[in-house]
Amino acid sequence: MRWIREHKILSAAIGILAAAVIIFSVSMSGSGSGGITGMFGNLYSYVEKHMTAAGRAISENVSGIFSYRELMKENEELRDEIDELKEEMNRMSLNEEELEDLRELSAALNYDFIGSSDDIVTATIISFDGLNWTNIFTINRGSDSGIEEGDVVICGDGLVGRVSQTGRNWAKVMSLIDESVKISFKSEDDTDMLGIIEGTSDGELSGYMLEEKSKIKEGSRLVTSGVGMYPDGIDIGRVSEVWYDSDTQLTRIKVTPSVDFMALDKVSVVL
Amino acid sequence: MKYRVIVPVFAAALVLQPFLNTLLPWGAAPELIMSSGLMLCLFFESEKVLPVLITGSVMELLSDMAGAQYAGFSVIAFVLAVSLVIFVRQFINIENFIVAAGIYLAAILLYYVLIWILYAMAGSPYGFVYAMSKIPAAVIGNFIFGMILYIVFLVRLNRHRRDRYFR
Repeated sequence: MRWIREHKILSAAIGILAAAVIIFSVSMSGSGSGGITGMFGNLYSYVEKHMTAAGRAISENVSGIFSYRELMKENEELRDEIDELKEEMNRMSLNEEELEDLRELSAALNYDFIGSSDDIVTATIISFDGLNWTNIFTINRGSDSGIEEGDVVICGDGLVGRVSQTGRNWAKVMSLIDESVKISFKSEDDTDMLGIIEGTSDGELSGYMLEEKSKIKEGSRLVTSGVGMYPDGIDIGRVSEVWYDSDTQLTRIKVTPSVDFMALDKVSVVL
Repeated sequence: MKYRVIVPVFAAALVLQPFLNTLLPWGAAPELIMSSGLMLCLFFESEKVLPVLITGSVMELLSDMAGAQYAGFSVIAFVLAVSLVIFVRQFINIENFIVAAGIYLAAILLYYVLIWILYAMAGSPYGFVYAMSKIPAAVIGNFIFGMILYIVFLVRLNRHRRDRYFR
């Protein structure tokens, strides 16, 4: 006791480190969503939401002043894209009867896909984890909206990742690069070309084709194959590099994700 | 240094962190809790910094619980970075700005390296070179914030410099 009194700082540091290691171990074991973490997360997410919104509002207004020309140009391009999409929508529209037939067929085949809007919850990102090399963020929807751990997260550009923790009104999302989980994919051009990718140590996606002499090309768009935890047909990215590994006798690829994780604002969670 | 001063300061840092993260581009937002804790420990004698160590650790834990993948990482890194500052302070004269800046910078780098080590132990796939290549903007942001605090403390603690006592 005398030693502790004479070395207060050292004793406090050792005590805090020991407590932190215990908390770290408990957190890694996966029991961190409930209890104190959940309660604090519910409270803090309310504060985070408003602070992030304030920061974003100021940042967007300031950056808008300096990027007026770019914004005008982007506006023109978006208008042209909208016109093209409207025409395409008119050409591709199914009548109600055909749509109902397809729905009945998918139910009969027990086919799991992203169907009605009831299967999707849209959420806003309220904070990132603060480290510049990871892509873990918190969204403003949680178990109250039906979100559960393991739910797939997507955005307009493609696959984002999975929900790793949930609270009542918040959820933490891990991007597909952060997870060391393998993702099964297929090429959009030729759905027979299947492969596996995962995040690498330099923040990219890398993987291999299942067929030894696959004809995958640079620039090919990859989508989820439906095998594993991710539903079928979600955009993953484009192949940036292809090479044959003679040691493993596999065609290896590098993939540029279609999602810019640092520029994410809104995401959708597939229930 | 009293808890009634330190706790509101660190609580304000915790609340303002998401605001700064969104406001500043390129990931240059300083880690307010870490920077404040390091600078307070650099400036004040070791007998007075126990509240900083304890309050900063609690706030780092709350910050982890709110936003990080696992809780406890930032606490371990914060305690060890602060310990470095307290330890080095006993042997080096920190009244020189260059020396103080050097120690502060070393503590910031130690903090990020420890965070990477802990994430790697938890299974993060990111390599050391990639992770360190992403932190320069954050290090600069932390450094600038720390130096602002340094000047504020310097002016405040030397406010009687014109009273002719030392002449």
